[in-house]
Amino acid sequence: MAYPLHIKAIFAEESDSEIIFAFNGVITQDLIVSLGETIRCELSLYTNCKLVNRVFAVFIEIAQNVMHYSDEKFYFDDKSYGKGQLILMKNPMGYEIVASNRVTSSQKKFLSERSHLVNNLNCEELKDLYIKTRRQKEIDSAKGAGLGFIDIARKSGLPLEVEFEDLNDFYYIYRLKAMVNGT
Amino acid sequence: MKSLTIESTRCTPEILFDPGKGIYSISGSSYPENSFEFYKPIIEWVDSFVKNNQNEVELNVQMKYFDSTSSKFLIMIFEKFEIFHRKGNQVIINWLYDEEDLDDLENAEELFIGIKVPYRFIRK
Repeated sequence: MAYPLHIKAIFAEESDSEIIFAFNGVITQDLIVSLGETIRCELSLYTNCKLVNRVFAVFIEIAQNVMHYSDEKFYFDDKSYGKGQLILMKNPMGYEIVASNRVTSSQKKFLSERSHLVNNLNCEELKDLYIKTRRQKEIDSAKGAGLGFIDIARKSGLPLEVEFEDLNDFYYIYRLKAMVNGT
Repeated sequence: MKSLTIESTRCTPEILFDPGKGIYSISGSSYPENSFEFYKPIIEWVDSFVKNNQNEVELNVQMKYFDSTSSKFLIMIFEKFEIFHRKGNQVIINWLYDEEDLDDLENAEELFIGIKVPYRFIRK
């Protein structure tokens, strides 16, 4: 199922941002690895290693979320991959990583709660929540217990921007924007 | 015991566990497509090693990057070596870190919270 491209809207409102890359389509592991290498190659030309690693880390967690949890799935080789959008932008403050994909209403609920929770915690509280969540024993595929989400919040400048757009009665477009400060 | 060798890929680390040669090493990047699938044989190997062997172990860990899910599995591996240590074997985990990136060191320090195994951080 197709839904309107939101890349256009993102570009229009981010006039002071320069696009490093933008992808719309099926997010495979190979794609994530390649875009990750693009980040390492390109950013290391003009920024320090610590910031490159931070942008890389936030990007990987965000991209994995789209691959694993986008409600719009494509199947090949007995594996499923989610469809969505991944955009990396640079502005005078730092780097913005934007992802968007389709979600169901129960995913919307989970993501709203999670983002509300992490956006109301300070660094120390986020650290405690991360460590506590990681110590939970079950390695359920079941949504990684939101560990990645907490990691994104910890490594990026808060708050995370989370938006939902109604697609119809059942589905929403979820959009996440994380900022990594520094130049 | 048979050694375990897994070659690295762009998103999975190299694993060398060779009791015959006394080599225990994990190095590279870790953000597998399916972490459970990747780490399952490694956890099983370490589990069997810990139960059936007596040895000195020096585990070298040198990670370029590990995602949040991989960190869970690294902790599981360290916890296995904690048991091994508790059984009276000499164990040390060497975590090699990049001095240019102290985030890396901070991430590593958090992995050892609550784990009672000797470890040290070594600047590359």
